[in-house]
Amino acid sequence: MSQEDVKNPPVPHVIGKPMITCRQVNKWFGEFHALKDINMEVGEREVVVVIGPSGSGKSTLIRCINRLEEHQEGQIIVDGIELTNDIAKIGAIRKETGMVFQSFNLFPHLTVMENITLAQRYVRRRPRHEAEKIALQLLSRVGIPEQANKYPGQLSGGQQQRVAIARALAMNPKIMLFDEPTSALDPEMVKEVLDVMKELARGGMTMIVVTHEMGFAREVADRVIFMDSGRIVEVGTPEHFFVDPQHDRTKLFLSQIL
Amino acid sequence: MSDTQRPKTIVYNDDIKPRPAPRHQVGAVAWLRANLFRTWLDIFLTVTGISLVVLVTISFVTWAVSSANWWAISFNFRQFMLGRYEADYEWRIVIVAIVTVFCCGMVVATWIRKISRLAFFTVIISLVLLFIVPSLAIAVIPMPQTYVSASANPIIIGTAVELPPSDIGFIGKGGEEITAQKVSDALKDDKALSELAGFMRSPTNLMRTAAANRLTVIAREAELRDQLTRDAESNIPIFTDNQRAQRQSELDKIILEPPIIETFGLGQVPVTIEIIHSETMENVGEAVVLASVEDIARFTLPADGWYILRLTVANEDVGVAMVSLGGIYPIIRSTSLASSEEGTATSGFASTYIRMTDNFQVDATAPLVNGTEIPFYNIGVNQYRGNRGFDTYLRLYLAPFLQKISIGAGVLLLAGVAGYWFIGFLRQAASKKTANRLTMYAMIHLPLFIWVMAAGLTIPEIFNLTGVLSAVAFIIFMYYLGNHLGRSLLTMEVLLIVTIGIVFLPQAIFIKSYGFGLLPLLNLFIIIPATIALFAGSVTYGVGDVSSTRRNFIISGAVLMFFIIVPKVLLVTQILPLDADYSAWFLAASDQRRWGGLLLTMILTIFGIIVAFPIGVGLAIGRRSKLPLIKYGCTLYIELVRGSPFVTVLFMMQLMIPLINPDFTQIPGTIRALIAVIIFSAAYLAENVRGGLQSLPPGQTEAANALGLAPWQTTLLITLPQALRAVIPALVGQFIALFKDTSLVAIVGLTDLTGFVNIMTVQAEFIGTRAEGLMFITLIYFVFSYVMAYISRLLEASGSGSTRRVK
Ligand SMILES: Nc1ncnc2c1ncn2[C@@H]1O[C@H](COP(=O)(O)OP(=O)(O)OP(=O)(O)O)[C@@H](O)[C@H]1O
Ligand SMILES: [Mg+2]
Repeated sequence: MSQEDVKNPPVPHVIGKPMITCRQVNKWFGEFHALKDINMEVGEREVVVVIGPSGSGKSTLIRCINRLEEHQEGQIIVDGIELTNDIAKIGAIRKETGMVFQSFNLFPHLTVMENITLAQRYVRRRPRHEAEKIALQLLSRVGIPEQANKYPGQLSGGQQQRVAIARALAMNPKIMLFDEPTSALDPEMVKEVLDVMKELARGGMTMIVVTHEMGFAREVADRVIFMDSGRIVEVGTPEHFFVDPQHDRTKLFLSQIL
Repeated sequence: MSDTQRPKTIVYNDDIKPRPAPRHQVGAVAWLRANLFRTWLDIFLTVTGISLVVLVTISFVTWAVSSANWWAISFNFRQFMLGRYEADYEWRIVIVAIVTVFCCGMVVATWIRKISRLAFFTVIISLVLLFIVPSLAIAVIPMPQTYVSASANPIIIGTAVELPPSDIGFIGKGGEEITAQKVSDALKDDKALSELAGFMRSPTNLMRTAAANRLTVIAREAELRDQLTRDAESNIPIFTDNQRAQRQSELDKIILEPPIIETFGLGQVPVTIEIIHSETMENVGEAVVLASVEDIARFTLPADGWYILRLTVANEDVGVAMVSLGGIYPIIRSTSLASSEEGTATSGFASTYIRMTDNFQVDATAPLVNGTEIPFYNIGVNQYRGNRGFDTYLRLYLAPFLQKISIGAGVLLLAGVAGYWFIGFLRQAASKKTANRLTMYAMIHLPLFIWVMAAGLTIPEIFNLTGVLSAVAFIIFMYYLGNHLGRSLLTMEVLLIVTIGIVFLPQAIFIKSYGFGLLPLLNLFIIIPATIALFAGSVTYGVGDVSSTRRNFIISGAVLMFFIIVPKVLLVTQILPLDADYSAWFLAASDQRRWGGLLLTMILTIFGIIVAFPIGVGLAIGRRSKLPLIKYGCTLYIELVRGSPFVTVLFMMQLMIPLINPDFTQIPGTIRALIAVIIFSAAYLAENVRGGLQSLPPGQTEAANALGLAPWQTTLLITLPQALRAVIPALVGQFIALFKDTSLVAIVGLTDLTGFVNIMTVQAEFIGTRAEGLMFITLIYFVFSYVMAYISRLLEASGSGSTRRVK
């Protein structure tokens, strides 16, 4: 691949209709150019894993998708809605995208049940009993139905992250964004969270996952995106990506972590 | 010593029995060693500390028991509590106090649940003390005597000349017995006279102090003589010539007067004693001549009222008769302020006379003899003189005071316990959730209740209130309207105009023209937010499900209609005649200028914090805003207020406000001080809350945003609750600090607890009782601050106040 191709990779093939489209997205933090000409498309039911060295802009990228960060140039279109400064559109997109953070970010002053029902009631305007029913279903789906009335501080890290996933799912999002969901977990808890995510992927959820869990990427990802210093350097299916990386940066990175 | 010779393991088989620890390592000795006398420094600090405490306590207790005039407190107790609050409405404050304490009980039961055994016993013990000790003391300890002197000639000692009045007025209850006897104990010698202790007027006191002075002189003389003889006898001179000469000349100057009891022939002079009913001028019983110490005169008073005690010494008798009286006690004249100001037509001064020892009251005027008011046993001149023992202190001051407050304190404690039990019962009978919710509701409505009860609520106020409520309902209504209709702008504008027409024009015409209305300007304050709400509603169009929007829409509309229509109907149908005086309706308004004492302190604190709270939260959020105008405006306000002393803010409110608009002089000083307190505490609250907000990890807001919560939802549901929990200790600290800081309003002339002490000490009877007053209010401040701090500590410990932060 030539330098030109790396700088402007063609928008790759997509399974199903596109859910997320990024066109020439640029993002600066003050003077610092954090995302450079990002082009990508994520199709419906597709699972995309984003990897890359620290500081390469992975978090920034997925945070731009639900407007936790504002991009300055280019277009981001989520489920047919283009992200602009329009609050209504931002609200609509946030309703469609669930996000799971590295540090869980559960609301510590609310019980697990309240954490999951809060947004359902105030954003989706569901009646309380309905929201609670959904919450209980989701809690059993992530394997902790008995923790409903505890406070987040009383749960283990893995359990908290599963609650966070349930909280995001409760909004019936079409897209789930995961930002290193297992990095803050003790090794023995990583599996329980990954299992939930695998189950989600199998269920056909559109997902963008930033992770260092290469096993997960190999097993679940439809495509792997490698980012370095603010750009997308290489995109490929896991088989190609891990077995036959093209770019030097990718090779170096993989040799370091594998 | 090779390794092979060493056994691999060692086994100890002998069983060691437990022995008691060395004696000095257990029990009290161990505690003392461990805590007080561990090192030399500890020993030094302990000894110094204990000595200091002992010294201070001894001198303070001595003062409190033997010479402080605590009647200043018990007589002014009501003013300390309520200031000049209208006596007619006093019941409202009583109810407020009971309800407040009841709610406190509910809070403890809901959020703390377990009160420590110590607190429980403290309460029980204080109840016992309140009810048993006073009655016991009053039953067991005899009342001190009143000493009175009678003489045909003036008593002259040095430059002091006192002619004991022959007629003195006193008040008594029907059936009471007055005893009179010549003072026997005091007559033995000057020492006995100097140790005389009881109520006495200045002539008697003059002789007592003269006797005491004479004894000091005698003692000094003996001392000097002793020194000089020892000096003369010893081989080596003790004094230098100079010192000796000094002492000699001091000794020469001493002129020893004859004993006081001899000078005045105390006890030898016979005295005739009569008691005269002041209205009828008839004698009560027979006049009695007291010739010797054995003679006792006894009179039984026929009815309540004024009496005159007449002591006659025959003109030819030179000397003073000193009589000890039982049943006659000091009186205070209380010019009742409540009924004297307006209303009472005649003099405007209604005097009541109160016997200090038991609060027995007589309303009739003091007796006149030959047209002039005779001296009476006024507390000001007829004080307790001489050293007071603890028993007398208990009998005269403490027991009656405790008895006075015992009912009130008992009822309040009961109310607290009832609140506690009520919640306990509810948790059993219904559910925890119901109990919590009820407590929450009670606490939220308590301030409103306190204000309405204290200040009163009149019809115009109610109408203004409904006006405000209808405005709020209207704004909410507009929000849902927008939400419901979405962005069909034309419809919206038409609707807006029509609604304004329907809602505000008649209201403006009807209510405004009858003087009940909101200012026309206020209508702007409604229309603008309503328009914004309409817009906000349309922006969030389709966000909620339609059915709940419709329901809210209907509810707010109904509320709106109710608040607008009901007053209007009442007015138009003349059910409420327009020209009637409504001030006495419902709860008559209390004059805020009359608020004082603990009531004022509490109101300033409670409403200072409560009103300042939303402002402070708003300022805190505003200071973190991205909009520069809001951000710097809030910062400016906060820094400005925090950078100036509270006193200046107080004075600003008192003095500068009228400059803004002369009409503002009509705002009572109380309210102006309250506004100052609000302005002041809002700034500090804002900083506290901002600290709490800043301590939150940014992930909280991000998570809320990612879930699609609107900014205001994020603030109200996620960040604020956490921030507030984090700063609860700081908030309680501020509440307590404010409780004490309100004492500064005394400077601008308000009679809160501190301000009243200043007023009390200019009352003729209680001049020089500042120390007593300050001591008393210190006790009040301390008890309240301590209880508040204690409850907040329990709240924190119970976890309901603490943040349940993810690790
Ligand atoms: N709020 C911000 N202000 C300024 N610079 C930022 C901000 N957030 C991120 N950056 C910078 O942007 C770059 C990309 O950050 P980003 O968090 O997206 O990296 P990342 O790939 O997620 O790294 P990691 O694997 O460590 O999470 C980094 O160099 C970071 O320093
Ligand atoms: Mg990251």
